[in-house]
Amino acid sequence: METDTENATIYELLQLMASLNDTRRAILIALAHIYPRSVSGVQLSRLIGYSGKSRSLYRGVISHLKENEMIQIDQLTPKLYAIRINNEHPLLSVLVDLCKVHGDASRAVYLKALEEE
Amino acid sequence: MEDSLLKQAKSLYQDRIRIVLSLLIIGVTVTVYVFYSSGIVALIQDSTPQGWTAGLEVVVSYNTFGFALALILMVLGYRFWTQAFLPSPATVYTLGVLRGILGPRASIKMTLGRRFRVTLPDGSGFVLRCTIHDRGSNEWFLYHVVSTEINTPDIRSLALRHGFGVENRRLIGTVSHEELHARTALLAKALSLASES
Repeated sequence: METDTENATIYELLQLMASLNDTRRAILIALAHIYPRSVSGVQLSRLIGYSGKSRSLYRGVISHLKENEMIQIDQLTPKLYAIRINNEHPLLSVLVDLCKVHGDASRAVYLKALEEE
Repeated sequence: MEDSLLKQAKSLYQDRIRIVLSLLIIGVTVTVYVFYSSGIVALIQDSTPQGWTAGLEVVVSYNTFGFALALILMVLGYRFWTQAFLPSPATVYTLGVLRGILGPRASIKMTLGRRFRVTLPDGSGFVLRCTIHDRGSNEWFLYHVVSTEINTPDIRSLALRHGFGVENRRLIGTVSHEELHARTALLAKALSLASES
C-alpha cells in the first residue's frame, strides 16, 4: 500500500516535470540537486546554461516559478537574492529526496560548476 | 521559437506595429497642419498681442487644445489596438491546442483583450490571457491562466501538485507557449478532481 501512494506521487511529479518547459525544468533539477544550498540569479543562469540575460530570467521564469511556489527567494541585499527550491512543495520535496538518495554524482557536477568562480 | 504559426504571428505583429507607427507619424504631421494652418483662436482674449505674448497666444489656444485631444485619441487608439487583438496565426495556434487537449465538448470563446474563456463540460473553467512580448521575461506569447473559483478545502495542495499557485480560491499560473498543451491538460485534470470532491 505504501509503495502505491509513493508511486502515485512519483507519477504526479513526472507529470508536473513533463509539463514544464526546458528552462523551468533545468532550474528545478539543478536546484533539487544542490538543495539545501541556494544560489544567486547569476549563478543560476550559468548553472542551467541560460543564453539570455539573467535579469530576464529573474523577472520572467523565476518569478513565475515563485508564483507557483516551486522555488523560494530570499532577498539578502537589495541586489542579491538567494534562490532555492521549495522543499515544502508536495511534489518537489519528493524530487529533493530522490536527488539526495540517488543523485550524488550529479550533485558533484553541479557543485563543481558553482565553485569555478 | 519553433512553432511556425507563432513565428508567423510574431513577424505579422512586428510588421503591423511598424506600419501603425509610421501611420501615426503621418497622422501627427497631418493633425499639426490641420490645427495650426487656419487662424489661431486664442483662449485669453488680448486685443493686440505683441512680442512673446503673441507666441504665448499660439501655445495657449483652442488649436493646441484640439491638437492635444487628437493626439490623445490617436495614442489611446494605438494602445487599444495593441492590447485588444491577437494576430490570427497565434489565435489559430491557441485554439488548436486548447481544442485538441480539451475535446469538442469544451466551450472556448475568444474575447477582446486576447482572452480565451474556456468552460469545461462540468461547469468549471478558466481564462487564458495572452501577452505578446512580455517585458519582464522577454518572451513572445506568454499566457496567464486564472481558473474559476474552487471550493475544496485542500485547494493549495491540489494547485501545487498540478504546478499552479492559488489566489482568491482560484488556480493561477503563467504558462509559456511550449507549455500550453501539457499545463492546460494538468489544469483540466485538477479542475475535474476539484469538482469530484
